Amino acid sequence: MSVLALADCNNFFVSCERVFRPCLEGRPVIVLSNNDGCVISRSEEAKALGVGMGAPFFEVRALCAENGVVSISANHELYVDLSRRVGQVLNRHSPSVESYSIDESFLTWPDAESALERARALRAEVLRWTGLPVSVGVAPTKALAKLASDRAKRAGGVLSLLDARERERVLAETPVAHVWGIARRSAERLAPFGASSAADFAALDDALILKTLGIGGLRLAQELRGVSCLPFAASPALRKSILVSRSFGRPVGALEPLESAAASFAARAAERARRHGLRAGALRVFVGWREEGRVAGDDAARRLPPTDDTAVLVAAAKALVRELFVETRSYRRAGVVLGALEPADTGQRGLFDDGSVERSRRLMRTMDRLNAALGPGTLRYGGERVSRGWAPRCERRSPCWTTRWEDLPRASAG
Amino acid sequence: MRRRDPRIVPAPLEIVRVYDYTGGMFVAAEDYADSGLSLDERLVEHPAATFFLTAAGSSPDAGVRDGDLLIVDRSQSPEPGRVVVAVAAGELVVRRLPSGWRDDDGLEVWGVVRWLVRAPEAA
Repeated sequence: MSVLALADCNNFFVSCERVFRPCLEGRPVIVLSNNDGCVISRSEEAKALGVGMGAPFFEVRALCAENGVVSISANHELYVDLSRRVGQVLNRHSPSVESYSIDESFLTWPDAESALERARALRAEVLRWTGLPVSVGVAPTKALAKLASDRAKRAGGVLSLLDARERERVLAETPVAHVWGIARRSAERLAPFGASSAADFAALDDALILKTLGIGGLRLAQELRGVSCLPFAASPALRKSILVSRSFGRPVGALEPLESAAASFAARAAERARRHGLRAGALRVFVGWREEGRVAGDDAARRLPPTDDTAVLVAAAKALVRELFVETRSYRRAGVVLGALEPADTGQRGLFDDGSVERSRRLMRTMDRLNAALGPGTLRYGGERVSRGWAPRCERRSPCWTTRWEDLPRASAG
Repeated sequence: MRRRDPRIVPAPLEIVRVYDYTGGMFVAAEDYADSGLSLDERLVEHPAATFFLTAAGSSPDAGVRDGDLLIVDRSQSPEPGRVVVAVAAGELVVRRLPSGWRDDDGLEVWGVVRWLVRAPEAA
């Protein structure tokens, strides 16, 4: 029987900051999102103080000041690099690793034998190589592995739910709302049937689950029973869309900065598409503003001949912004979504293609390489981010210790 | 028309084909295009565990000078006599581990310094 392990980095963003600032060890630390200043990662000490996940910073500012909580603005460039390193270590421990999110990956092992020792070795090596603590849950299915890794955080970092009796005990203790994939609304719908624990839920009649939560709910119940239903995708599933959006540092009321923001988002999205070897067949732009105290929004889309060309996508995004723009509104947010994605190498060469497709591809590759080497946004298309009116507020952000030469961490000698 | 500076001789325009997808000879040339020496290959044994740091200050004992680029491998086991980056009072520091050093000495080792990179001083 093959087994699944979920390796989950503990308080990932905070842990990344601590690798290069050991003085943060043992202190309450929170990481805030760049745009709206919400809490997106908390150290155990900050959790103990009652700082809520997702809380806007202004709500917890007083609590933080009173208790000496260190608040840091998110540095995604650093987190992505460390996540990549964790992935490389995981690859040494299993031939099939599925990266589920920036801080969680599923691994498979061919048999259950000494799975716990393997999990311990994995945890020790990630910690030693990258400085990041991970929790590892081992189980026969993904939903159970997720549950195991959550509980592993309070059990020395490694926990197995391979044993059926142990599984029953844990499921009985787990509220159904804590099960991976069961939203609060779903939990409420299950309440009339007396399903308050995960074990109650798993014991419900299949037809009843199907009627109440649909096929997704039934799959989850099966997973909790130890029957694997969520496919293991060793290669990441083809992305359905690529989204780049930001809240603006301050409201934007003019066309030009809005256009330049959308152009910048389209360029980022194009970069991402190329990194994944994809081309977009559609582009959507959305904008958001506040109206009489309420959030309002609008969007527009157009289809394109499949492309990963920054120039084409930027032009489309700007054209859509001009369609959407209304002078009396002050925009708070905008975003670009690339859709109808397809692998870039399957496209047929157009009958009348004069080689410009290949030339544009080479230009794009050069742009990506230079931007990767010299920092994002080094090379830009005209119109992309000429105006900085919308640029998000960033305070107290840590240096890009692992991705920029000028930001290398310093070690004092002597 | 502006007169050309006689010291600047325009080079004859030359188009060099490095490779060609259809010509067998040129494809062979491409095979060697990537075989140059890479410092990464020589200096970075474990990319996932290797970090670059800058030395602040000098330590004759560790053979480290101010501004040295430190190539630090966290996957290596610290041993007595090796130069390491360690954590002291919450800060990263460069030290040579003393000959009698043991793992449980209380000095928290962050990573082992594998290489120092430094430009020679001007005379």
